[in-house]
Amino acid sequence: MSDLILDDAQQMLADSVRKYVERGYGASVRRASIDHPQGCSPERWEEFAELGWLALPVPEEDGGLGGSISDICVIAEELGRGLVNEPFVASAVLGAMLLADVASTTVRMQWLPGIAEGSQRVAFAPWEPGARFDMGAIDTRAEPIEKGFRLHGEKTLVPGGAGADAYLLAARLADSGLIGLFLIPAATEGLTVTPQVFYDGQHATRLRMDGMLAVDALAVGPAAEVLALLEKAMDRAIVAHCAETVGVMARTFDITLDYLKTRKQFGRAIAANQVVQHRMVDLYVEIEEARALTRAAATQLAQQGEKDASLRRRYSAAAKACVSLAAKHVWEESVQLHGAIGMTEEYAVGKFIKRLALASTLYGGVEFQLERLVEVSFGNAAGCA
Amino acid sequence: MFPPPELLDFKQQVRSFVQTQLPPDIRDAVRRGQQVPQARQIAWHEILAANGYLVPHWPREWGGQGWTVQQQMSFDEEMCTNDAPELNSITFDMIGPVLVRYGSDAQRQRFLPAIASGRQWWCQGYSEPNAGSDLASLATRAERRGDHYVVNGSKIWTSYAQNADWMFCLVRTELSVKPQQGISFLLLDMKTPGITVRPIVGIHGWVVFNEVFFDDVKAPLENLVGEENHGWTIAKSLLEFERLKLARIGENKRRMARAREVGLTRTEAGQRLADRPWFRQRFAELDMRLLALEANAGRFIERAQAGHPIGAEVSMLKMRGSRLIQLWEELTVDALGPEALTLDPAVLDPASTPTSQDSIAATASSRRFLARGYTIAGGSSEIQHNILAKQVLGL
Repeated sequence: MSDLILDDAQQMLADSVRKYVERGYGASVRRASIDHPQGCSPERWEEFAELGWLALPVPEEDGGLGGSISDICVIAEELGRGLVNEPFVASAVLGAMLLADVASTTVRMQWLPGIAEGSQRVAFAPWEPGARFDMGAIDTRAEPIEKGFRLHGEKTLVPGGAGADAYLLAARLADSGLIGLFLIPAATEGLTVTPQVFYDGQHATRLRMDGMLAVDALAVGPAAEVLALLEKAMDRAIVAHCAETVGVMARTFDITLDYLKTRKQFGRAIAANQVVQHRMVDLYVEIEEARALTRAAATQLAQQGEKDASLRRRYSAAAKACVSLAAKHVWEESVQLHGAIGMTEEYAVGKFIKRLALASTLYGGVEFQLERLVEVSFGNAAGCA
Repeated sequence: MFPPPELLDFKQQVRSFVQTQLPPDIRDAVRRGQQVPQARQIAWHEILAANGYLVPHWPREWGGQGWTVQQQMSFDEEMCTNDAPELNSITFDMIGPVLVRYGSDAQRQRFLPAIASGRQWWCQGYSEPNAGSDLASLATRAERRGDHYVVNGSKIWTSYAQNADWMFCLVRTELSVKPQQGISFLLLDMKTPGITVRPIVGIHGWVVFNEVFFDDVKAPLENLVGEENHGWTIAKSLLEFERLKLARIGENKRRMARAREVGLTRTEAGQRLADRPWFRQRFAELDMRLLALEANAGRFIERAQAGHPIGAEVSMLKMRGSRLIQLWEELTVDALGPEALTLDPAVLDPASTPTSQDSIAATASSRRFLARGYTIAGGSSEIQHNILAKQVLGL
């Protein structure tokens, strides 16, 4: 539905992103990005920077535009609609904004202007093997040495990790119960970066630290404090990812609807069957609710995200659960309603479907988010502190 | 998203009004899920009317407040979450506004002040044994004879007809045209000879529905609203605000509060239900759906506030809001387990002696069965699907 929630400036932003994507991001451009070893065409990233999209999440005093999460979501939704492969949410939102939250003056000067200009990329490595999306499960160790720390451990599936110039990651300080957050340049000795490709073509990496030297920590503190910082950054990224996924769903829906109106069986369009119509209505309603809740979450985060952690968690968890459920439903139904053609790699809808399947799980799927949501209502379940 | 301070003040004002003015017996009955007797309901109407809160959404000249859509929605929600009884929407949201828009001056003068006083009750004679979702196939006949119509036929599923003073109904006045074109909108005094009301006890134990029979019922011509054979347009019209209300956000929040209370007061395997994974997942999913419904309704409210038509898309609010109530009720009875397996209609009467069950448990099954009708009444979910398919998706 046409939306009055976007103000004029946001509508202009949405229109300009859509225009860019429609003119400049066709199948061959996407293919080139997927085939690029970094999952990100340097030319495209440069264009994103020129358009100001990469500067939007960076604070003004650091050479950025200091945009709100609502503005960021406007871009993300349109990039999703175009199934853009470049890691806007993972790198420009999650990585850059976490860095901006915690970095000292020196580090900010060193990194943030470059991030805003598109000449540098950072990625946050939130998860370790075998612990799903629990950012608190940190087995990576940081041993204090005379000049810094030596890190040992592993991080799994770093979104936007391919081609990143540096990684943000957390490690437990040996024997102290504290957690440190580190910024590690990609070329650091003792860091092994292994490429991974998600099944929809987006690129990630795994990281392995074998006694790698980290000179300085961005932040060191009790686990709860550092995890709260990580959660805040993750909540923003989750909402931006929701917006991106809403864009993917909307486009998938349009492709499917168009197909149903065109394709004839038994002498009439498939869409003439009421059973098909009602199923499309269900998808439409789910997408609209997902969009509405994502927008509401972005507004809540923009206005209250700094001061009210439980409200922030409540909205980001609810939006992500809602979007994840809808994404699952949309991709499954889109295949079913297309029939066999929906199962092929070559037909357009296939790529959208895979992105949705991935998006429903990435950053924590339905059950994970519902548990986060219910913690706000009832606290941690007894015995699972 | 964040209400401006004026709106917060407004909500606070409504909240303190309802908390101080709602008679405790009515509040308790609502909290327990009991039926509020008509006399007590009217007593509450009179309190609301005295404060200008009974028909705030009507035009000012008929007692309205000139509130914004946002204020009206907030008002309803505060009423609901503070245990005020639901007002009869047939009376206050349907016939009132219909008469404002389509009634003659004489009809407005005659009925609107009476409705706004809170003492006159209406029922809606739409559905018939052979005209449910397919309303246009209705067969109740009204034939013009001199200065009156003679009505024959019957209506069914007529909510609260047993309490009503008046009925507005759809009758067939012309047989030789397309079904929608031969329908008129007629007002009937329920005391007119020839009207028989047969109550129907629902699976929930309440008498909500009735069958109403018309046997040569005389209605003066002046009781016709609008033009003869133009009743279908009137029947389909609902004010924008009334369509928004069908999201039932306040009603959903009320049910969420009950489910939460059950989760905090019942145990299983030595844990609060609120700590049991199955309860947590189901509660959270409904909580999420309610946030989504509220966010979605928020977009329509903004549209309406900006003076734009809210469009056919609004059907999704009715569809989702009514279903969500059923899911809350289902969670509550599932969580109560054996406690919710009885349904003694006597406990629905506020005058009944308390049983050993607490009030939520005693009425839980009744509420659950009652809520089952929400996706049927007022345009079934399937009809809402058809509307969205046709008018929004162009199918």
